[in-house]
Amino acid sequence: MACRGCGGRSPLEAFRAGPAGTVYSWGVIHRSYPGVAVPFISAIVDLDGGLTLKGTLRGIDPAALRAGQKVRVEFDNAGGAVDKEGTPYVGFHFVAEGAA
Amino acid sequence: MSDAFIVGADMIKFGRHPDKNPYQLAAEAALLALDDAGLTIRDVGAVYAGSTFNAASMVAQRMMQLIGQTGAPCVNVSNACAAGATAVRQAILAVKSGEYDVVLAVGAEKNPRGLLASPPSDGPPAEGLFGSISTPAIFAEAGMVHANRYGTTMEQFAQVAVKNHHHSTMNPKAAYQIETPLEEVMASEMIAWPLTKLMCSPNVDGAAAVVVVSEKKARELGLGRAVRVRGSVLASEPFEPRSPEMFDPNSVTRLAAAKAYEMAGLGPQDLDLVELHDCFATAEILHYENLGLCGEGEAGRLIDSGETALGGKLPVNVSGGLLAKGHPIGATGVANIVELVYHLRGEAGARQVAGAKIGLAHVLGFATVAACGVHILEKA
Repeated sequence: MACRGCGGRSPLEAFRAGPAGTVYSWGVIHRSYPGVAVPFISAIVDLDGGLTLKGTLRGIDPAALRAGQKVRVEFDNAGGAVDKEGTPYVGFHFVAEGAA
Repeated sequence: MSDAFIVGADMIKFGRHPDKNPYQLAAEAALLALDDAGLTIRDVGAVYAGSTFNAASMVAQRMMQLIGQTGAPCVNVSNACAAGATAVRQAILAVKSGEYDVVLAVGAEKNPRGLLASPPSDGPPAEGLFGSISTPAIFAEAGMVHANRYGTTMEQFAQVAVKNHHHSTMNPKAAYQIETPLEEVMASEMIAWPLTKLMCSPNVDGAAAVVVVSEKKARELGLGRAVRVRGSVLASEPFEPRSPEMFDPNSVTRLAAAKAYEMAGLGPQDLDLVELHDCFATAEILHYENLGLCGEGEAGRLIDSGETALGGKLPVNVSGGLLAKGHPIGATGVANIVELVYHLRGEAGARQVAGAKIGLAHVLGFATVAACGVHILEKA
């Protein structure tokens, strides 16, 4: 595929981001789809060094959350989800730094 | 190249229409618009139909089965919430090409119920595991960027809902026509903070249609109630580094607006009214700046000033907007244009913007990537 920024065809380079980042924006989700536990924080996080991820932010009171909050990515088992062969998925969420 | 004119425009009342299918809704709106123009389906050279959930079933041809199968070419458009504006723009292009003198554009939708989202194509359901993919969540996040940068408050977002619901009390075709004072908006069910239920547009059914004609045809019919198309633009999401993790409603709207103003040779200062895509209350605040209705960071002040309410300097969403009129996805972009036509003709009743000569209609389509339509219309 070509670069979506410029259309250039030169090969894309692999990029390894670290787990540290800051909160850019968020919403606090009180109504979701059936079976999904609420409330939870849906956060947009800019990883240090340049990459943006959306994920669920845990371990902080939504009322205390501010833009620029330091967070880290933690990998998880995607809520225990498995594919049709029974193979587990790998998921991730954010944890607020300085929080439990 | 001929200018394009709108000589027929109308819509059905938005709301729940459980006893009708989308083809019947489209047919009703089409007949209203044709009657308004004093034309019949036999005069129509081509048809464009916007319907995000029904385009694949050939909504335009199914509509023709109900109003007259003349054999005219039909194009069915799906483009998320921009489907209706896309259909109107294609109709305008068809007229401007010189191939057709009369083209019908219709938007019709039977919306699914509940929260709308684009589900993942594989893997476990993302909702809750990887943040939220619901549209309220996405527009909460987009609004919070503005709040974080400029200190915009939840009350200011809520005032958009207060204003637009107030406007809807003067629009008999709005799905909901109820006053919602600030305390009621703030206290309604929290959906995705800072958005409460009354700050989210309701999923309803609806249809709207316009008849677009060449200048020659417009003069033949009489210019008295005709509306001239000054600008008609469709844009797709340009590259934004955070997208698609972070939905960006801003850059695509700015791109479309800049092109529309350039095409029209007009600027925001020339507008008498605006119908913009208030799918959520936060969106209206963002689009004040995206459409150049105020300076950067001034949108909170603008809603507080009352200038965008009926009677203010530049009324926005006097129809009630998507928040109160309802948001039947594919119909919305046509209905916004219909609303402008009502006002430019001086036929908008209790909510008439006095002396309106130029209006702008904006829609934003989004399904993990964005499309935006902007039209600028002038009383002929």
